[in-house]
Amino acid sequence: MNHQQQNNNFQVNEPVTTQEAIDLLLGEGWLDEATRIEDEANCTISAGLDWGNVLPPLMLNLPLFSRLSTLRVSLNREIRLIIETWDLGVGTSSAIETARRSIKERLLSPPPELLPYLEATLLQDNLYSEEFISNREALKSLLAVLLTDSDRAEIAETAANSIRAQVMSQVNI
Amino acid sequence: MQRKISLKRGIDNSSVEAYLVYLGQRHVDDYVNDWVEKLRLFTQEDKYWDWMFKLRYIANQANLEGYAVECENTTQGLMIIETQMHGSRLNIGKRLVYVDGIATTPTNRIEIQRPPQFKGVGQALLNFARIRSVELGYEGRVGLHSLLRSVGFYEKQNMFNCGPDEEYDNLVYFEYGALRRR
Repeated sequence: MNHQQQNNNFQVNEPVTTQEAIDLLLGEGWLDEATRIEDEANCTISAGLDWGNVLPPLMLNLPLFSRLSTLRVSLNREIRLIIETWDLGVGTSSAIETARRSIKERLLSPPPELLPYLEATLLQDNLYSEEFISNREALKSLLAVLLTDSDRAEIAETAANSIRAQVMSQVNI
Repeated sequence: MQRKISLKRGIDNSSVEAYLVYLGQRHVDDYVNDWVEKLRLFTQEDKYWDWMFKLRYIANQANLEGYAVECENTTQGLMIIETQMHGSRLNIGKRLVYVDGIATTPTNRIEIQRPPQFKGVGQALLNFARIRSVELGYEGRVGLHSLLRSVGFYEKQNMFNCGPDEEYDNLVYFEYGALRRR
């Protein structure tokens, strides 16, 4: 039985002990299996949400660094939940995508007037106990100042364009 | 912690002794002094400053742990895991170890060097994340968001592919389920 088959067979019955996990995952045979997979996959291991190549000013405050990603994914989720209530039909996806792009831009390059709001949100310890912030009111309050009128106009425009494209593609009316 | 492991030399598949250790300043130094320039040169979609910041602040965060693989006195791989805030998407209500970042040195990346200097580095780190998950009582559950270029690797691992996660810029979410005894 090869290492991978042995690994798969572990997915039944009782949980393993730490020593059993060590023996299984870093014991005899793991390396042959690892190199076989690495050769077959022909790609490099990597993981994690990327912020791009720009250093957000907020990152300069190290204690806030770890919370910025939590805030970002939470805002991404919140804006989706909000836009889904707007009943935009085929424009929903593009509206969400545009809004998320704006959120990322604001977090990466916040205008000076936005910084106090962001820092205040990042400093609320009670918000950061789970993968996503569950306090929706806090997220909505932040989105209200984070997304500008220009952002809203762009969201509306992309949604409208999607609806327009959908109508124009219906040649058999 | 210093756990002895083996890696394979890419050139002849011979085994070589390596160590899995806690993340330390020397690993940060290796990243800054040796990795970054090569990654820039080959325009690898890595998170230069992101990693640098993570590596520097990790010591002060109770929910984050950092590990490195050393071989021949140089840093071969880095991993940061989050241990308190993430839950399983396959088994709702269960905690898991979340791989916040994992990376290998440029010379171990086939996009940069073929054959790579050492093989097995990423797998060793990933396997250790599962061991850590067992230690923490999470039964081996591990989750991560894969960059597009690495999806094939995780699929080969028999990790469960939960598909693109729109809240995470459509990175593909993968999860290992619980490890069970036969």
